[in-house]
Amino acid sequence: MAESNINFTESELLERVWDKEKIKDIIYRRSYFISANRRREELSNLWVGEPRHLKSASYGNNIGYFVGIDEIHRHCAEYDEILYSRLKPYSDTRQEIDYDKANLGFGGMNIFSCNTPLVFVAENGMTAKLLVAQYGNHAVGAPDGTSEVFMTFGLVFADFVKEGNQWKIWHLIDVHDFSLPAGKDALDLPLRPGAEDDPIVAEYGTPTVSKEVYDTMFGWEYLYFDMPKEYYAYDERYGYGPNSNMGLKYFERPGGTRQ
Amino acid sequence: MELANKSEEYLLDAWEAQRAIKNLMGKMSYNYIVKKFQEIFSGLWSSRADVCLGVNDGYYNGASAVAGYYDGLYELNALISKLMQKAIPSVLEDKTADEIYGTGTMDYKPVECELIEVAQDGGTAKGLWVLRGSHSQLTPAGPVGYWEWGWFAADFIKEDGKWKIWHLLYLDDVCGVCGTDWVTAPKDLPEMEVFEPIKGYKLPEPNVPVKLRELYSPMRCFTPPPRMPEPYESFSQTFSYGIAEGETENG
Amino acid sequence: MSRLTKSERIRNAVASQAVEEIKAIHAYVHGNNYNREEWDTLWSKSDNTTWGHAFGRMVGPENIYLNSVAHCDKMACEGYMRVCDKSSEFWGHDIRSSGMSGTHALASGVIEVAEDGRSARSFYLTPGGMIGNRMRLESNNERFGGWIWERYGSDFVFENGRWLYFHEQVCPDIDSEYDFLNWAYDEFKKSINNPINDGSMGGTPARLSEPGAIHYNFTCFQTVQDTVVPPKPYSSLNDENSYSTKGRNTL
Repeated sequence: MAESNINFTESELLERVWDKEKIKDIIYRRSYFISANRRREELSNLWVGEPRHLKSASYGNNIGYFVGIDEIHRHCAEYDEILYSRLKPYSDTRQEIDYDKANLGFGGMNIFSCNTPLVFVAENGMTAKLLVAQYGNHAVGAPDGTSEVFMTFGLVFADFVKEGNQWKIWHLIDVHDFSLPAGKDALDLPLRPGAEDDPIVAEYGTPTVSKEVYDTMFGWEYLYFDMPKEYYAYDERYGYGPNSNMGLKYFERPGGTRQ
Repeated sequence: MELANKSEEYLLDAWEAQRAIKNLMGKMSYNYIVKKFQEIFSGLWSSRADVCLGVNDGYYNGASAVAGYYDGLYELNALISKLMQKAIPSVLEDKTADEIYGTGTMDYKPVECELIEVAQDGGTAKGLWVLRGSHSQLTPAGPVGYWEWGWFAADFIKEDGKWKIWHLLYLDDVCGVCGTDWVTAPKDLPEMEVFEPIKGYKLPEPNVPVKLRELYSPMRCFTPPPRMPEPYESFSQTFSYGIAEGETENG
Repeated sequence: MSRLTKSERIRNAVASQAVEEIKAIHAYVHGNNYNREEWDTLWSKSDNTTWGHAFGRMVGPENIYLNSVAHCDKMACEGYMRVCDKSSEFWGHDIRSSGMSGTHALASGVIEVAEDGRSARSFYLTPGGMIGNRMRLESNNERFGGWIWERYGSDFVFENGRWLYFHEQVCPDIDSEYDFLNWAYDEFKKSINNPINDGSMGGTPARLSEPGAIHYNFTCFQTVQDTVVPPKPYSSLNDENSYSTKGRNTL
């Protein structure tokens, strides 16, 4: 249900209006950092920085969570290894392309775009929740002039927390639905693509905590219960961190699917 | 935007500015669908002489060049409609040129993922969007659909209380034929004599030819998105999405 | 300089964001088939509520509910039964939402709030993907990787302390399958010898208050349709500022 706003003064309403714009700005800015392969800068610019939040920060994907900012940095390193592995065929066969950090991403393309934002700021003003749809493309080239190009589809769920007067990403989950190959019939995809069929699956890495956060087979079965709604204060069960209800079946959730 | 310790009046002005800019870009998308290209220039662009439109192959620098680009799109679409009228006379032959203008192709340029910074002095603004589109082009074989992925990056200026485009970068990473892998040349389709005239039409070229961006290919160096806007006080203290200093019509 | 007071400007900024919120909730909830959760919570119950698509217009909450909830729920249940016949993995899962994952994604939004603060209007493009394993399994592998791109014109009202949908006009333009087809060329080959457009893109309703094509999907012989024009700044919802028909613009 759309927010009711009956409990706020005009000044508070104006502050909350800008809170929502800032939060959208952060998640969109994240898209540009990711698309530019600037993942570490994404973390240092947009994610929590205060010591009290660093251990509880988390990044999730379909298969689990990286818990703690150090672990999220480790995931960045895992991703760099993938980029190096994609660079190697080029540097092995083309003299002019060095196997060097400066050439990471050569022959590739990785646009993540966000749309359809849904943001709720907690009534107490200290946290916020967001959902966006994430549509992208993803290309991995080869020195023989071919490329595997995909159109990618997913969602992003995120908790934000206020540090001073700045909003920061605290927990974020990249939910991945599909990577559909350009020029091919989507029906030829297996029902549960693995890493060999889907480059995003190949990039999941090794989470700190393994957990089925999202099963592409059943899609948005729990989306109505997991999407952000009006709320008073952060409760980790209804957030997007590793101890949340995300990924749990209805009979595993305290109180069922009520919030 | 830096909003700490700002008055409520300032916060409202800044919020309304960024909403107006989002609306402006939404109207630009709409104008592409209904083929109102000349209205894009006359309605959405600044009246300044130093407006500038950058595309992959260079800049249309100055009002006359930018207007010429949109005039070119109008003329192209008028030609397409005329050819389609000849190709499908049973439906279109009784219609006037005005009635059929825009028939034949469709151009969706949805913009999303916006970053907008309004200057502290309130006189200018900057924005960056992802373009995730699809359009059809008339080829000698008939209309063919393309996926289009790219970026719009713009400087805006306030004129007579309204926000207008001052400099615009319209840069593509992908203009790939739908139903292909985007990098292999699509197979030739059988040409039709009725569409022969489309071969002779070319949009006006940029008057400052310079490679601003390559389309994606497996041999392209990694090419990040255009630079993100950052908070700024006045335009002199930020970078421009317009033609770079030193780049002239002589290249 | 705004003509509105500070309070009115704050009210309208909040309203503008409420429109974004409602549109987003619709996109997600519709995407996972939770139709009654949308229509029971996001829509006005006024007799002047309307929902228009290419095929005609539903008027009043009962007709809208019949088509958008009852009819869609029936189709969802029938689809779920077919999926369960094909895959026992789906047994015990949510009848409506399991296997769904398509969004009418929102882009290029133009939002205006009336000066009187009692209504708001929006224009959006929706470059969405209609994909999901349910669609893949339920109907002999048809429409798994489909997409449909549309325009939306929507009106909203402030009723009993909340913003609610009042009118919607959906204008489907282009659709196809991912990604082995070419929407423009395929349509052209179909049309060149048999140019018929029945305006049926986007589904078939159960019963309509006002049947009859309001908008035709794109074909290469379809003249430009300006069915939903982005809203301009306006004072109050009336017959001139509405995405519905005359006489349906009061609560």
